[in-house]
Amino acid sequence: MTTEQMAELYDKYKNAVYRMAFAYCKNKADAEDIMQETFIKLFTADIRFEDSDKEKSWLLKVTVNKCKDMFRSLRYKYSLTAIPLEEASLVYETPEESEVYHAVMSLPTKYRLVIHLYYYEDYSVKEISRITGNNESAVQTQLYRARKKLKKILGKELRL
Amino acid sequence: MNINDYKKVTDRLEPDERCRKEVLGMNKGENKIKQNINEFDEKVSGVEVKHGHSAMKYISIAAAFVLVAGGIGTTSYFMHRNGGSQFADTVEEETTAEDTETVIEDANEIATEETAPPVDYDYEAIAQELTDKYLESANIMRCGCVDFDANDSITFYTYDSTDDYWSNNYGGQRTFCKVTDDRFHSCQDIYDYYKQNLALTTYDTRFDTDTITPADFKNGIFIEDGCTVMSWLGGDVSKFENGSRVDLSPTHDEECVEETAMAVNNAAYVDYNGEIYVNKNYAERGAKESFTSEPEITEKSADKMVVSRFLKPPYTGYENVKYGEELIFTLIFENDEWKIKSIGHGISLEYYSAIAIQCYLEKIDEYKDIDIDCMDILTSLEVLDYNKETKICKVHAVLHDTQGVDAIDMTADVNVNPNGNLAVISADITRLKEYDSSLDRQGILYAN
Repeated sequence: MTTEQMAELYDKYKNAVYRMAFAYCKNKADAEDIMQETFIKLFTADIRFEDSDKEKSWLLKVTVNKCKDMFRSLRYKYSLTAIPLEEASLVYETPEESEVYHAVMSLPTKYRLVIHLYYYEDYSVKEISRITGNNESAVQTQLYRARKKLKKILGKELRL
Repeated sequence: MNINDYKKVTDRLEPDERCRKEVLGMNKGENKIKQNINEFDEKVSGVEVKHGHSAMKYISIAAAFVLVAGGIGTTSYFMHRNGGSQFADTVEEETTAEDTETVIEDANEIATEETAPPVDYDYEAIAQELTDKYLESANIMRCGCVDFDANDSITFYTYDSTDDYWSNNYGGQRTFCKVTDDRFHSCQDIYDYYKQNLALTTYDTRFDTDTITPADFKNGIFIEDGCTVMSWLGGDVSKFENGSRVDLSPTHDEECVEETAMAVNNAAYVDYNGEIYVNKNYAERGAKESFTSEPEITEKSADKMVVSRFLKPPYTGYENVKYGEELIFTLIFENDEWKIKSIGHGISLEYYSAIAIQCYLEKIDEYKDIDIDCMDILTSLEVLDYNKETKICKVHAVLHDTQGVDAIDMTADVNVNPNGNLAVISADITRLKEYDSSLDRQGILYAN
C-alpha cells in the first residue's frame, strides 16, 4: 500500500473510527490512541477490501476490539463504572443536543456501542452483530433496553 | 428531542491533525519492510482455456474428523484403574513408619527440593477426552443438540405492549419441545454438564483475569467469549400459560423489561413445570460444531498442558472445510483431575487463506473478472497441505468469474500466521476461461 493510499484511507475513515472510539472511551486521548492503533493495523495487515462498506465495518470492528482491549487493561479494571465524559472536546448548539448526548453517554458501554452503530452509523442489527461479535438476538435485546433507558432518562418525548 | 441531537454533537468530533502525521509517519518504516516481504514468487501459467469443469473441483475434501473409540476406551480404562483419578499411572511406593517420621522432620527441606510429581499422565487421552466432552456439552447448551419429543411442546407468543415496531418485527411464536434426554431435567443440569469440564477458576476474557466458575447457571459464563449462559438457558417460565401471549413489558413501563418473558423470547432452553424444554428452532436446525482434527499437545508439564484442536463451525461457507478454526485449550490439573482453564482462538486456516487470495487477486488486472467475494472463495477452497511450524499452507480453488462460471484453477502457498504477514507467497494459476473485461468487478478500491 502506498503512502498516498494510506493517506486516502485515513482521511476517508478517520472521523468514523474516532467517533466510534470516543463513544466508547468518552475521552479524546484514548479515542485518538485507539484510532491510531486501528489504522496502523489496517496498514500493516495490508488488507484490501472489495468495497468501502466492508472496509468501514472491518475498521469499526477493529476499533471496538481495541476499545475492549483497553478497558480490560489494569488502568481501567478498577474504574469501569465511573469514566467521566470529557466535555472539553464537545460542542453543543442547543440545550437539547447536550441533554440527548449526555443521556446516550450515561448508558452502559454495551448500550452506547449499539446506539452509536445503529443510529449514528445506520448499521442493521445483523451488521452490528458482526462488528461487536454478539449474536443478533443479543444486539436486538441491547438496542431494546438502550432505547428504554434513553426514554426513561429523557422522557417520552424523545423520538428515536 | 431527537436522537439526531446525538448525531449532531458527534458530527463535530474530529481527531487532531497531529494524529494524521503520527499514523502515516509511524507506518512508513513498517510499510517499507512489508513491501520487501511481499515480493512473492508468482508462477502464472498464462491463458490456457479449458472447457467444462475442472476435475480438480470434484476432488473430495475428506473430513479429518475421526472418532477415536480406542482413545475413549483407553480413557475409561485408566479411570477405572485409578479409581476415578484421571488417567494417572500413579507410582506407589511402600511407606514405613520410619519413612514417615523422616518425611515429617525434613518437611521444610523437601518443600524446597525438586517437586516432580510421581505420576505419568496419558496426556493424549486426557486431551482427547476433555476436548471431546467440552464440545459435546457446548453443542448441547448453545445449539440445542439434545433428544426431544416434537409432539410434546409448549408455545408462547411474544410481544411488547410498549413497542409495536418490535412486536411486529421481532416478536411472535416461540415453541419449545420437551427434552427426552435422561441426563437433563432442568437448565441447571445443562449448565452442570457444561461446567463439569471446567476448572474451579477459569480465565474470564471480559476482564482479563481469573474468576471462580459460578455454581448457579444464572451466573454462568461461556468460557470461550465470556458471555452469560443465560443467553441460552432461560430458566423457569412456568408462570406463563401454554399458548398464551407473553408481554415483554407487562407493567407497561418502558424501562422495565420482564426477564422471564425475555427468556421465552430468546432462550434455547426453558424450564416449565419441573421439566426442561428446548427451543424448536434450535433443536430442528441441528447446527453444531465438530472437530476436524485430533488434539495436538503443544506444551505439557505436571499440572498444565496446552492443546490445539481445529473445529468446523456451523456457518454458511464452512461446509467443506478441512480444518476450520483453531481452538487453544489450556488444561490444568487440580483436585486430582484435569480440567479446562481457558479456551482461546488461534488460526482460521481456510478463512485466512481466502482473505489472502482475495487481496492477492484484487491487485492483478487480468483477474478483474474473478469473483473475489471472501465467502465464495472459502466455499471452493481446499487445503492440500498445512505446515504447522511455518504456518504456511498449500491451497487449491476453482474460482468463478462474476457470472458464476468456472474461470481460474488456482494452487497457492499462503502464509496464514495471524501474527505475521497474511499473504499469498506463490501462486500457480490456470485460466479455465479467457479473461472478459466486460465481467470486471465493480466498486473495487485498489484495482491496480
